[in-house]
Amino acid sequence: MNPAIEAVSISKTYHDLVSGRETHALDDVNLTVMHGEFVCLIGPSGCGKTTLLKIMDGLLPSDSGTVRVEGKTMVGPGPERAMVFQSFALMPWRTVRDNVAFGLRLRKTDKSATREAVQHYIDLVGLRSFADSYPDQLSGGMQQRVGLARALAVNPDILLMDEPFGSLDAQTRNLLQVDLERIWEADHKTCVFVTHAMDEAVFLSSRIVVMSPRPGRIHEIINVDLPRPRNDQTRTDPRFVELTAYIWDMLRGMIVREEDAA
Amino acid sequence: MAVVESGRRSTRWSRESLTVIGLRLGLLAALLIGWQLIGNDEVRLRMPSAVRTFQSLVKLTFDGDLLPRLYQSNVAMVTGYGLALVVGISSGLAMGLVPLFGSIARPYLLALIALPMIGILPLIQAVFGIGVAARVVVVFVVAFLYVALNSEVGARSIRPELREMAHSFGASRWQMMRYIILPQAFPSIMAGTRLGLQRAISGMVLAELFLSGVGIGSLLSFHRNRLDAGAVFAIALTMVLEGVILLGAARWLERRVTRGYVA
Repeated sequence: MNPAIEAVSISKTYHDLVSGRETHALDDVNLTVMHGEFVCLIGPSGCGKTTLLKIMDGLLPSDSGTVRVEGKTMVGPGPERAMVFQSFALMPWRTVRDNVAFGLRLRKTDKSATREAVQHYIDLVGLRSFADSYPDQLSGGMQQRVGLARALAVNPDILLMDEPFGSLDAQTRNLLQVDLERIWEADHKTCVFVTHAMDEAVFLSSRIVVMSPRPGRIHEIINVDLPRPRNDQTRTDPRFVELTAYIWDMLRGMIVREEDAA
Repeated sequence: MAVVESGRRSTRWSRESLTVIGLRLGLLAALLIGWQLIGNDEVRLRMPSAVRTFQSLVKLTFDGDLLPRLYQSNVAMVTGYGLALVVGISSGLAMGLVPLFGSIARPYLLALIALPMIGILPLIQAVFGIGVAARVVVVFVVAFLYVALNSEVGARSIRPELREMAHSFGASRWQMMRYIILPQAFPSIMAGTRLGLQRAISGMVLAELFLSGVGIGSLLSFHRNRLDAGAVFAIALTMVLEGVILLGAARWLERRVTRGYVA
């Protein structure tokens, strides 16, 4: 298997222009994600997981290091990658259908092909009867289904997800995890998924990348050997419970140290 | 705020909206009757009744030169207002989108708002004379500010996560403008457009009254000097009608463009 996307010695420091303070968000981070892998980035706040994801999408420049997509150095956002946002980032003045069509419209995809693809992905995320609704008529979970369908509609090789379920309640989040797993099982797209929820990381991932803060570094990489396809039974698997507890132990150590330092 | 236009055409003439229209017409009738009652047609310079006003209006329209003067006035108004829209919207958007430019230019625009128009009329006269150019400039100056400042507010209200999203999906500069920035700024731009229109109409009359004796403004002062209150009211009524029609047209345009917009 070949790497789908690689981050090579990425460093990034934020400078606050007002206070003059510097935040060392990422320090020499290396990450290789293989084709068909589902990788979760997890860590306490401030560990640079979202920064790393945005650098991999080309939304943020890194101070040093390179990102390679299919072995080629990447210079900005590209059609082989698509992003799902924590804030959903839906256009409130457009219907679900038009929001899902957004990426295709930017690419000037032929109209009937766009219509077909949009309908397909709206059905896939379970929003068939809401296709002509506006985002603010939908619940948070449904809004993020729109965000997911919009990313899938451009048929990317790599799906980048930035805490997509972070603002949803626990029940909705469980439902969406199962749905995402079902969608992922269909074609095993390469996924990089940022989360702060331990159970979510274990449920979805093939590998979990645990990051530590200040400076943001990769702390440990965990292979998740739970059988697929995963479903709600997976959550009661002893191995699931064990891995979740293991990650919590690790994160708790970091958080306690941070609290002490503060 | 943007008007919500749902696609439900069947409910357009619902019972509620018919009731509203009926009550509006009733109010209009009551106002006209009241006007007729308080009017005094025995003395020419007294407040004219509704009937005298409408008689004057008919006379001015068919025997006088109301229409050509209205046209003359509107040439300056439309030109000045059109310029104000083009310059105001583009500079307002630029101020909102380029923060440095915005913070440099904003104090100057705000200073202009406090400036009484009547005070700079001599200045405009000195530079542009008393021809059509001077009137265009007056209309432009009074309308431009409101268009620019509202467009700036619109451009600044753009949600950064939507720009980031569009950037991630590979939007070009033009696509960013077309799909993300303009739709979000549009309600504010339209608010500025309406405010600017109202100012442009009053600027037009102002210029004609105090700068050059042409158009509807000069007709107004002519009849005022002859103490013909009926004609003065008829001309004022014409300007009210023009304002209503133009603002209605602006609203119609806004609804067409924002069809389906839920703000």
